[in-house]
Amino acid sequence: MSAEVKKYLIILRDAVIATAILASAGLFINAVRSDGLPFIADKPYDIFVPCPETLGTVEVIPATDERIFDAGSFVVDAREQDAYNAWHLDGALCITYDYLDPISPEELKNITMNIASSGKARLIVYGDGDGELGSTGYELGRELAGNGIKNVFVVKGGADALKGGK
Amino acid sequence: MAEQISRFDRFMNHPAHSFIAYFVRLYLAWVFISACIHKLVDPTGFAIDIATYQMLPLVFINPLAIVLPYVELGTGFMLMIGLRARAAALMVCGMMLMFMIALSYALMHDLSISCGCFASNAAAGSDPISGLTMLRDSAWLILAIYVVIFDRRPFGIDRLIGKKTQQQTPAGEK
Repeated sequence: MSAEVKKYLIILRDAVIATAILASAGLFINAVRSDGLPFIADKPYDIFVPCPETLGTVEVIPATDERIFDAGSFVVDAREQDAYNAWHLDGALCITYDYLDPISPEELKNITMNIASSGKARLIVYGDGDGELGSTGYELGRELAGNGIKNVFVVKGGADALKGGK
Repeated sequence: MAEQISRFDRFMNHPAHSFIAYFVRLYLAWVFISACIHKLVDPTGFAIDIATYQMLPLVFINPLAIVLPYVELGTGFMLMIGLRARAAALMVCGMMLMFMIALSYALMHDLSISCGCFASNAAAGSDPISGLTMLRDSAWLILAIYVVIFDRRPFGIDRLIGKKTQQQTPAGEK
């Protein structure tokens, strides 16, 4: 065995001895301290691991905002198919948002890919309700933004406001 | 060939390594001593941090939470005062590898947690683990490897002991 290898073995031996001494010291100090831990936990720890955030941020804009009707906007209608058929903005894509029947991750990924590949500068979402927190347009917008779509805008007042503005 | 070997030896034994390694050791000592403080103060919090990784069975969580902070503290002091400095650096390598395995596991499982390195998860909610945490740990691992390989005459107690031994060893008995 070369002298060099012997030196490294001595270093390894010293490291093992030092670890053993320090670990023993730790066990001793833990045993004498008042708030020491039991050596084996008697029940699992309550751990809280927050889920990765899948919702992004959106900007709420009024129904009169010119960006809604701009050629560089990709428009999504978050309402039911029937409501979409009755009326929708020209070129709007129907992606029904239902709280009780959420869009699957695979479907969401496909939608995101379609929107991203359109090359449009921004995404406009409108739906039912006031376009604020809890409305279909707002929630769909946040989901799409959370999937990597940038420049997501939600129409305040939803489809009703757009119809009124027309 | 002999000339090549002597060049290699000269490089490996160059006195500059001791100076560089001295500062590297002080830096690593500071990292490890500051990392162990919150674990020593709040062992329960640290046990929860370990449990949050969801990697170890329950029986190993408390023993690790009890032992690791003292190993970190001792390693930091050994590096600082130059007592078995290369062995301490080897211990740093072992711990860094262990931390990096845990980090990789957490990253692979999309656990949105803090690494628990310098503060508990509860206190460091805004410092989630990421590729940067891995990069930082890799840098510390490389520094520790440098000390193990190149710090052949470490400044500190090791050097003092080495000098005494040399003085006591009669010439020609090396």
